[in-house]
Amino acid sequence: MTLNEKSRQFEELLAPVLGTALGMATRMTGNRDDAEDLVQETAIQAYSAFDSFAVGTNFKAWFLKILFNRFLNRKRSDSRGPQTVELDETTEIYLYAQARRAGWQIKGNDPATMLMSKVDSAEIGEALTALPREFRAVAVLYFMEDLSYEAIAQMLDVPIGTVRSRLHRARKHLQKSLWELAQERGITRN
Amino acid sequence: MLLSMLNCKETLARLNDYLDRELSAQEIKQVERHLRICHHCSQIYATETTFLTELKTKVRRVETEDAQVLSLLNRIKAELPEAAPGETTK
Repeated sequence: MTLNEKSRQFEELLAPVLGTALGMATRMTGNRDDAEDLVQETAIQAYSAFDSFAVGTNFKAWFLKILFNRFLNRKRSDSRGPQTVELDETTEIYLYAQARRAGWQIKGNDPATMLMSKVDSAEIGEALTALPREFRAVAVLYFMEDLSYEAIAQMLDVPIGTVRSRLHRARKHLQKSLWELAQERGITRN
Repeated sequence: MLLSMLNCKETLARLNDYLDRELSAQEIKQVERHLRICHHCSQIYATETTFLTELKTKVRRVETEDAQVLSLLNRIKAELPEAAPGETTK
């Protein structure tokens, strides 16, 4: 294969997955510039390794694996990265319990519907990027691509049990941070 | 086969895996059986499933305009090495 053929083939496979990769990178990095840099670096790395890609197999999965690997191995001291929080042990039924305590359990009004109607997509993105990056990676793959625990485990090279535990803790933590956001605004009072 | 009945604690311990479609067929039946008869757990399930659905919808609503994607593709193309006439990859 000539270099021109290799480039053309790579670009043809890359173009349809670029939007998805950029969306995921935006959710992981928390801003557009870092997301573009991450995807661009990933593309250059993927092109260098393109000879190892088996044509006819899943290019998107192959590319995203490189993307997530790059994201997780970025310098942790990266000052442009978002401030992350320590995940504490949150009760299994956090949102339901808080809503009941606040008197939200009104017939016909589900607490999750009420809470989520008060926060927008950008605020949810901020809550997501405040998660530690290992938790964020699992959450982004699950929320955006609906992948199984097994598929996420393969993508991130971690055991299935780790995926399960990180995803469940991330979900509870998102409930907590969104609830607290709603509380700060005084919108959790009836 | 007769399935054992789950209590509330056992059901809630399986709720996330149930929402994520990661339970076995037998466990799904056990959880659904409990949810049918337990009002408290079915309310918790309703909250959790709504939260998850709304969360997925809003996380996916990330703004990536076509023009941004195209511009990035062009930047990447410009970074890929150019071939000399007749040059091969190996």
